[in-house]
Amino acid sequence: MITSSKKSIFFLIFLIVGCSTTRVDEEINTAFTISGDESIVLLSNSYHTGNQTEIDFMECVNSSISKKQNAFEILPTRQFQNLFYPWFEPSTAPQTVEDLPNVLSNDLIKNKLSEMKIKYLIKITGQTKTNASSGALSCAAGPGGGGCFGFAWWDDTSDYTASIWDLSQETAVGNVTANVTGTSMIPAIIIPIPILARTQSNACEGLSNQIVSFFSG
Amino acid sequence: MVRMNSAVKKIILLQSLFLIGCGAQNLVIDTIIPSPLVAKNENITVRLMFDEKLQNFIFTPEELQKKEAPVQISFSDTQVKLFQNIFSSFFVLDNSDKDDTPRTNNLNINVKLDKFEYLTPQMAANQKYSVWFKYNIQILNANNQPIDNWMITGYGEQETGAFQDNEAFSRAIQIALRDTGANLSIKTQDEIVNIGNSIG
Repeated sequence: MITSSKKSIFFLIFLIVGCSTTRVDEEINTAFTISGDESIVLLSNSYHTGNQTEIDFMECVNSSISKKQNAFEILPTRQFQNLFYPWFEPSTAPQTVEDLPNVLSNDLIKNKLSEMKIKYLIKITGQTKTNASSGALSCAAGPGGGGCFGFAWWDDTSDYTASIWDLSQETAVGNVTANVTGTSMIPAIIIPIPILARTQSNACEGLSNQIVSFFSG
Repeated sequence: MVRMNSAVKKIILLQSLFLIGCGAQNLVIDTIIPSPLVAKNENITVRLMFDEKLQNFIFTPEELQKKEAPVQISFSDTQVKLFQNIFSSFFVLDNSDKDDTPRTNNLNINVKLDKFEYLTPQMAANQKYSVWFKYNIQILNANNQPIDNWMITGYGEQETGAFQDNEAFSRAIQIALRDTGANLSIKTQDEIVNIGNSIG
């Protein structure tokens, strides 16, 4: 009994998560459709322009969208960049919808997009930032053992925007945004117990749900 | 996916100090750049010439850099492969040294590494590695008369994040090489008509 209680407590510690608030928004500019054999691709704006969208966030949205629906295909970002190298690299990809005609005037690119039925390009911008942090946590170890004491907390904001571009029409058909704020903390009396607000994974979940719902009409 | 504050990072850093020894490390760069999606001009044959330093470039940090990043970087033939891959997508490459079938070249291209620079998180007081390459590329006609001279740069950055330090550094170098390939492809695409005109 004692062992099983300990296991439950240990397991529960890992389930404790901090509180977070999620807000998602959607804006549709023009009518659009997508069919089962057509694809979308996600691309983040370049760090050359100061954008810092994390690679793991892009991977999370890619995998989340492909798990949530089977109404259309999603081509993994890296595969897309390799197939269309060097036209969608961080320093060469169109950064705004106004840059699209420059790239799409190249027949090789246009024909390959059409051959692979890649209809929409979703440009992701945004990042997760720590706004404020406070508290103190100190740990010490000696021959008789060790431990931590103190309390630390911090606020994170994950703010991401997905701009959906129609590659055949060369227009932006809409925008989806996800904004998640949350407070994480680590109280420690001998053992530190992290209570983390998973703002980035919540933003990934919120944004991918909203993108799927956007294409579901 | 989980954000950590400085307290958590300090705990992890403290733990890692017990696990990692000190001393210079060797970083081997071996990256594959995709073939560019461009039209090949089968009428132009090019002979590539590489600066000796570039062929098996081994970067050894200077005394000042050793304190920040005591890493020796071995590029082996990665840079040579990068330029061969890009130029072979635009032109026919003359490999007569290898296959003993001499061709009449229209162009000679001389590639030289001008600069390789980097910043570590310690140097820049941030959480990322930044890497720059700068190459000098001379375009010469069959008689070795200069036609054009290009400065091609490549930049890459990688946050340390969950990576071990050397892995983040290695990724930043690979991103910078990939960026070099992208910039070179765009430049060649822009200049290919002028090059064709200048050799008749």
